[in-house]
Amino acid sequence: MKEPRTKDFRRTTFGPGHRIVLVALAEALFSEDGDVPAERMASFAADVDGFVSPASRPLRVGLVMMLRVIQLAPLFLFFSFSLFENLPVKKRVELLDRMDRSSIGFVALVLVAYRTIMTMVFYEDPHELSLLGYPGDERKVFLRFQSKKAKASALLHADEHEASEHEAGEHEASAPHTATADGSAE
Amino acid sequence: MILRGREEKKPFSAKVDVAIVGSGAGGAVVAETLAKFGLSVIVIEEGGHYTQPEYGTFRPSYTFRRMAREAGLSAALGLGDTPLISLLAGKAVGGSSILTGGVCFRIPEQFLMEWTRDLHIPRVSPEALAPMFEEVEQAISVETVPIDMRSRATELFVEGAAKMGVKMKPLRRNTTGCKGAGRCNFGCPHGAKMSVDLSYLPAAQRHGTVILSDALVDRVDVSGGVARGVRGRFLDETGEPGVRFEVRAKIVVVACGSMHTPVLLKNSGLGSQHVGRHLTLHPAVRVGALFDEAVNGWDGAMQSAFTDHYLDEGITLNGVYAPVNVLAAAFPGVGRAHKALVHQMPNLGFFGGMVHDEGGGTVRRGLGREPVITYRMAARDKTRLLRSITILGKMAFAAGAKEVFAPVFGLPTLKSVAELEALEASPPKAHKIECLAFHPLGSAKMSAREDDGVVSPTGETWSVKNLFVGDGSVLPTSIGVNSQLPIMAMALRTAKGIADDWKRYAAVAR
Repeated sequence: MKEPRTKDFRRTTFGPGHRIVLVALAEALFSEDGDVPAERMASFAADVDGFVSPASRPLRVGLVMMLRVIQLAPLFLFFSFSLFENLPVKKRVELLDRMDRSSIGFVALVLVAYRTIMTMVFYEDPHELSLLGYPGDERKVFLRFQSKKAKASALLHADEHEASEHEAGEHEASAPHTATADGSAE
Repeated sequence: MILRGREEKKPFSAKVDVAIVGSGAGGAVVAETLAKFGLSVIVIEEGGHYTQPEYGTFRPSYTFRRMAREAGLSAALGLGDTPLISLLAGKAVGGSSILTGGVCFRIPEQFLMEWTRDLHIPRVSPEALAPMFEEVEQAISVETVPIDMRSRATELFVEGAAKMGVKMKPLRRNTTGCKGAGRCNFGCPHGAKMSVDLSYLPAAQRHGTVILSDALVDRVDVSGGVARGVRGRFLDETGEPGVRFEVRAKIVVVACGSMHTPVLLKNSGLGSQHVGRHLTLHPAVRVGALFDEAVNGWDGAMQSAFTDHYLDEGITLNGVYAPVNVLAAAFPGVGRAHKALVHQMPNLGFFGGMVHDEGGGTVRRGLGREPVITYRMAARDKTRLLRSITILGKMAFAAGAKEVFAPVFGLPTLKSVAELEALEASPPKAHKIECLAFHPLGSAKMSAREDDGVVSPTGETWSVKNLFVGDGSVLPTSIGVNSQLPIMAMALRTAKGIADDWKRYAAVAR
């Protein structure tokens, strides 16, 4: 779909430091096998920023704090003095998986919040959608419905036509010598 | 006429008969009714104005960032054993009516009888409201969704329900010429859904109504116990308040929705203990089912079937769908596991369950402009949510699903009815349940006595004369069904009451 003139609020939420974490998170969520190009990841981080920036200040501050939690998560989940973005992708996936299954509500919430936002933005890319088998604007159900409706309407008209012809025939049979509008006999 | 606040560089003032705050389902109906009656009306909307051809081309995340409150990330914070509940509300000219699936139900008779008999509210009996429903249904083209417009995914859930002895019925929606794009709740791309920006607001404008967009009302001006108008600031292109505006009016109707109406009332000095309390949400869950065949849930009317079979248990089941990236966002797992699930999208069908809740919600003023919403779920309602998951899961398995996606964070997909029953028998903590709500109601509720609510049966607030509430916050209880049509019918009832009694209200304003 084409994008019309933008009316997005002109503000940003994530600084360069945050975007590094966002890209690392995106790699773990969507590119465990390294199949998404690096340049897409960079523009993707900007798109995520664009998505959350119209939200209120308290929510944006909350999201930034949650990102910090992810950044520091290796410390309290792996007891490792490494930031999230410095872990190898495989380790990052393992860490996020632990967060997903965590019995501590807040830890799971942080992962769910970012997975929700980032997945929504990542999979609306037309290329990703086509890889999922999404056909774009094509809608077979509507086309079938329309053709069925057209057939039903044609049948109805045919019936009406037949009925009116039949009626006319009966009329002619009963009154074969009706006068036309100009008074002449048929 | 539409004045875009973000393009206004100078302070603005106006004097009208009626100022309406909010342009959604409630505000639009009040505007059209009173403008048609011959009053001068101004509608003030915090959100921006986007035409249907514009929003029809938005990708889902763009709809959220431009037309939804908090970019679609609003939530009610759970208190006690309550999940975090994701809330969706519109913020644009047309309000949430642009972001609904278009499902139209009248308020079930059992609730109207309760309001009439137990709460003693006049003119809300089924007979009294029927003409309101009829008028609104005609104005927004409510029609039954043809069975042939069902997606294969919905057909399968209907088949599964039939095998369980549960009858599904066709839904009614406010559409004309639906092409089954399956994304009604992100703005219909074909203009087939008759949201109020395409129905009531253009009609109101034809009768002279002026709409102000990007205009945040700070408070209602009250003097001598009477509402005199509103004041606020236009939002600039950064979304921050800038140039001031003021509207003097004989009557003010607040219709910002149940999440924001209480905030405006509180900011305007209304001290009733009931303002912001009694919020009901209709907590809902969405269950996914993986089939062997491609069911292409996007191909067909987004919502086309429902069952009220479980209404006595407080549960309504509705067919649902959403754009695929939005659905994918709720899938469990990370990395390869998540990706593998997302790539099965063509084989995934979804159905939703919604609970008629007791109403443990509260709206409070927050640090910024958005309210803080808390919700304490009754144990009964949590049980109902889990029961909905079990019922929907069983329907999916009965229809031949090989796996069921229960909306529980961190839970792998379920592969049998036994696993479903085990989930219901040992329920997860509430914070693990992925819960949604689309119908916040009741935060400025109507009551027959001043001590019991915020507005009188006419819709006028008990404490300030000529100040009305015209949205879903006046509903005295949860209604267990989608709220768009009920909000519009109640708003029409309020507007007709204002018109009938206009001379008296105008005299009070003098």
